[in-house]
Amino acid sequence: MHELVQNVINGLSLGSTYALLALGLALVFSIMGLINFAHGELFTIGGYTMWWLFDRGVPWPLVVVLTPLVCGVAAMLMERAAFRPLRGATLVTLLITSFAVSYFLQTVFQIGISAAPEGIELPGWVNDTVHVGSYTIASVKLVTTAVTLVALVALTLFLRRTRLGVSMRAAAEDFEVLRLMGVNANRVVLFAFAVSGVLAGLAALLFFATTAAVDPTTGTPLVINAFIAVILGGLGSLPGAVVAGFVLGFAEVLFESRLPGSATAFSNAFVLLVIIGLLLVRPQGLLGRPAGLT
Amino acid sequence: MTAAARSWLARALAGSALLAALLGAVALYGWQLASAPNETKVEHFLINVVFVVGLQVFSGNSGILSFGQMAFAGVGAYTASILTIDPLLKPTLLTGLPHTLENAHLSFLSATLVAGAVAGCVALVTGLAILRLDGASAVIAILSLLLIADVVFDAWIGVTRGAGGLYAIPDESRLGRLLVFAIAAVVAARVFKDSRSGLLLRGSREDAFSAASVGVPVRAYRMRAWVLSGILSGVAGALLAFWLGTISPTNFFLAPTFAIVVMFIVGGMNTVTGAVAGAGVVTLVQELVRPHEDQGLDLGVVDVHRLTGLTQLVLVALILLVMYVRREGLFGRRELDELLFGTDGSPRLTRFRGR
Repeated sequence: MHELVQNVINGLSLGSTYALLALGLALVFSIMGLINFAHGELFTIGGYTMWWLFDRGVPWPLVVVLTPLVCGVAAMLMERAAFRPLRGATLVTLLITSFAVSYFLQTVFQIGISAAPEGIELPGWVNDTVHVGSYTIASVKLVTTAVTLVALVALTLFLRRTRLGVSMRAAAEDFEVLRLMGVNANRVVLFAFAVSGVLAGLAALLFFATTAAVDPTTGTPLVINAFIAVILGGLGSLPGAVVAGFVLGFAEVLFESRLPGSATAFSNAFVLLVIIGLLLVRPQGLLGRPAGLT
Repeated sequence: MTAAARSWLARALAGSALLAALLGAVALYGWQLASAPNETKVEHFLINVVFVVGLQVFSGNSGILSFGQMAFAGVGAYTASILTIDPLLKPTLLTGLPHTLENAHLSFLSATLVAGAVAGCVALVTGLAILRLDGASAVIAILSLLLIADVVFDAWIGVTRGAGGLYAIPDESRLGRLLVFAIAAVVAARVFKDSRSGLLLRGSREDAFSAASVGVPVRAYRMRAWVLSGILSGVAGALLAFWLGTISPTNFFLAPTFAIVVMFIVGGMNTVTGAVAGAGVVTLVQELVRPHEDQGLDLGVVDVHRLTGLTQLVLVALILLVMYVRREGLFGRRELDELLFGTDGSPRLTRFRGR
């Protein structure tokens, strides 16, 4: 029982990171058909922002506000510089370009900062624990889950209640018709990138509050897992991406805690195998609609 | 065999002969200069040709970009290494080998062929699952295959030695042998591309729904291309292992995947000629840049102390250049022979038709 509660909390915490990353990826994918590998570097930029700000003694509430902002701006710059010239290009062209942008940024971090991990000097309270009955819970994990839930509710409200949010959902449904309706397409796409960047920044806050070290490639494995969550949730389905992000987080924690000692090194492989197995049964994903030749 | 069947086969073989001649000329240049560094560069080029051609067989014909070829390359490389490392060394190097593998000591050729076969089997099994998906889902599923492979190479220490790297792989790579494999890969890829399977698969690349609606079993043809590309990538991995002498999981993960994809894109995805040309251009650029890697650079205003990752930056620049300026790569839709002699059986080619 005790272990189960710990696993649930760890799963929620890891799943939150995946869910936020997957949501940003799904948002951009559904609007412009871009599998954005460089999303991982937005996340890494969040990590470096935290490192730089804490290093200069900036108080933590300011860091919490600035990190997602920096990531949002970086995402908008990325859209403007790299992806706008390729509007309407094929899936493969966009994919390769984002792969190249991702590699470019990693190399820039390597040359400009360092190839070695940089330690983030987190404020002391992140190591605090709270006692609930007989359970000891790291408070940062509770904060993580709470922040994710708040962000998800806020995003849902934004997408349902504001004009721009409705435009974004409409763009995800049918971009051409949206343009025919006289909506400024560039603004919608730019804003989708900004939102995905802010979500990546939030994910970075949550993730680096527990790992406290960032290097140029930190984002890559996480974003690949987040992609897998997007596929599992059903391409283009925003609620699906969130649900699948949590499923992936739980699966990872479960395999890591339940596999016998000699097999724990393989846990990520098992998780991926299970997901490929799930996709065999439901190629359209958990909440997706059937599409393509599946 | 009907005349039509003979003509496409003759055409494919003639086209590959042209590429084979080019590869031979490059190899001859390697021999002629005979200085060790040049020979090594040409060997690297020939291995890259096998890699890119392997990728082209699947991605070029099906239109689904694969980031997973290095999984097959790794399977091939570890298979070939385990089969050729001196049995006396194996008990100390690898603690988790089954008894039969512990004593196995194959020649270069049989080990490479077994490596290709094993990689082909892995492709067959993974293809059953992955090829059920389409479009972006397929791309990500293939990428997850690469991740799974990396975890296995890293964690199965008894068989792969994990991140520590597997060494004492016999130095069996010779320029001549590599040339033979590169030519064989080109011929296989070209014949597949021009065959009925390849033609229908290319049709599905242009419009999968239309192809399926006229009864083309798209998934079955994708599977054929997937297995053939798995075999070729496995062979390429084995050749790489013999060439390097030491392999570790990073040799089969994201960085080399990126390099191979750049070659594929720069040359042009739709042709075997493009695969060869891309391997040539990118290998050349890599070799030109390599001496400057890790050197300081004083730009007057900016003084970069160490250019770690200069090769990566150049690769990125190459790929972005192609994406923004010439999306179809160096060779768009036509093979070299088609560019030289036309695609509709112009007079010069009729003599290859045997009539």
